[in-house]
Amino acid sequence: MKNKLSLSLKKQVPGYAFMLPGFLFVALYMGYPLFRSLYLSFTQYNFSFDPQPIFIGFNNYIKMFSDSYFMDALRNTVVFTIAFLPGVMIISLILAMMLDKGVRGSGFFRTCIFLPVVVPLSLTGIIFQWILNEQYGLLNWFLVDVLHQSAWAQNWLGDGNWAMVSIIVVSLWKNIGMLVILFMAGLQAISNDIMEAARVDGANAYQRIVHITLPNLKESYVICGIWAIIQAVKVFEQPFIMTQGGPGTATLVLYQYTWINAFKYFEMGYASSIAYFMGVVILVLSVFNMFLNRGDDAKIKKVKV
Amino acid sequence: MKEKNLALNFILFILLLVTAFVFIVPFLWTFLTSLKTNDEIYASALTILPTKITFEHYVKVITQMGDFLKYFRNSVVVSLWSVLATVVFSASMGYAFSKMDFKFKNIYLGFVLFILTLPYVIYLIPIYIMESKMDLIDTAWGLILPYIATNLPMSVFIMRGQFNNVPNTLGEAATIDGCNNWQVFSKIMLPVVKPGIATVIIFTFINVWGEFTYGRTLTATAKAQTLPVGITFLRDEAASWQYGTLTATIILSLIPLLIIFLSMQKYFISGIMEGALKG
Repeated sequence: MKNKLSLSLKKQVPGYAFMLPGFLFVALYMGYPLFRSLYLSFTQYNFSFDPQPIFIGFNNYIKMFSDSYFMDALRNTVVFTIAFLPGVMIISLILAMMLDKGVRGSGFFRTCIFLPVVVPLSLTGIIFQWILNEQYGLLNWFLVDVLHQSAWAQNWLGDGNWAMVSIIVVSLWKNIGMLVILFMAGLQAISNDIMEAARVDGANAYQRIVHITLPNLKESYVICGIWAIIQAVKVFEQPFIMTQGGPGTATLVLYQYTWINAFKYFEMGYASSIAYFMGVVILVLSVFNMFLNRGDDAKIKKVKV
Repeated sequence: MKEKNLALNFILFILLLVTAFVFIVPFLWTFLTSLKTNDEIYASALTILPTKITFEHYVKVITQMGDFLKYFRNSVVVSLWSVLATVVFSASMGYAFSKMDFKFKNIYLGFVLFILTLPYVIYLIPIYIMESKMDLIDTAWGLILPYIATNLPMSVFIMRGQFNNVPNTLGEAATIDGCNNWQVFSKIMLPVVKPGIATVIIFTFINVWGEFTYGRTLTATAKAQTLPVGITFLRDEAASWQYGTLTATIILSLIPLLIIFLSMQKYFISGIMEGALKG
């Protein structure tokens, strides 16, 4: 600590030399845009008409709450998040615990579950359009011809409510693999000694899960939670590719509405304000999630000993 | 007790098998569809396996669809440069953050981690304006430069973790032996962190190969469009692009990704796990 304060400039040169080349990219393509769009969010700036951004204070932020498209997008994003967050957390945790048991083939199963994470969404979106097709789709065929439940067949992407359900399910399919890996990391970090001790003390499988496994995953809840929150609030490609936000505005989400404003109408100021609105929501939810899972350190340490 | 475990393991095995199957059904279905004739794809009675395997769609995609090859080439060019630059810069930045001292170090690091959490459209808007003014829209560099920047924060984090595991004495010993900073970094340190470099390569490649939002926004024509972007345009030209050709295109786009992912899966997954544990 002491020598850090008295660090001479000469001693710092090598550090900067190693850091600056890469940092310039980050500064130019992320740092500058971060502040630029914050400024733009307080301006009226149509990129095709306005020569310069015109400062209008908080008007964009006020305007959005009387914009019915924005409100639809906000509502849809909230619905999506409320369904997606617990869904992805619970299913991933269960799958991670199953895979953690290490039955034969676990490595292969994990790869299968993880595969959607690495495959581009624009490709999987097109695949799902095909599978969910009302007429030729695999899903309706399976429901009608295999399960003989014609009533279950739906126009999955054409009907407003089902379109949202489809988007949510596709997003779960896409993201579960990532959280499974993160939860498995958390599970492996729980020491075997506690588990053994609990077993010797006569705790059954259910008791071991509830009293040891779940409380010891707090760190994973924070990491997975933040990751899932970011994925939920910035959901974009699934609706953009599969439904274009439709039918009507049934699957229009905030990210997409931002994109449309910025790159279809070129309303850069208004779009920036919606983007910042999303950013603030993510930060608030992330902090809330950390607060929710704040380590009851004393307790954890006691168990870990 | 043993028998109970065996039964339990069997149930677990079946459950996982079904789950894994559900997860890969879309890919299997795409592959099977790409091998069917158009008549069979659009027949009223759906068949699972192709009655007659045909490669006509693949032939058509490669020989007749000039844009597909352009998209493919663009994806390769953009991915290669982005990965290369990200590896070089993240290694040197990670090294600086881990092993060297300079002012405001933690502020830089905090800043780099902060920008990871925000929605990337925040950066995209000014980038678009900037690139329009610099005539970089619809060029390969217009994509490569932002891809390097967006992939660096995570990669720097990975590399910093890797260098943190290397004992300081290793570098100090080399310095005493007369190595300068650059030699310590390139000759002593880099060989030790090879697994980290592999992780960065696969992370960046997967991100860039599949990136859609920036690609869709910063390009306009097949001149610079990458596969994930181009394919949605191919889809919209419905007349010539039916699901036979579309699924064949998807399979072809996936091949490089699957080769890299399956061969380097170890580094990818261990990279995520290590990141999670250090969180």
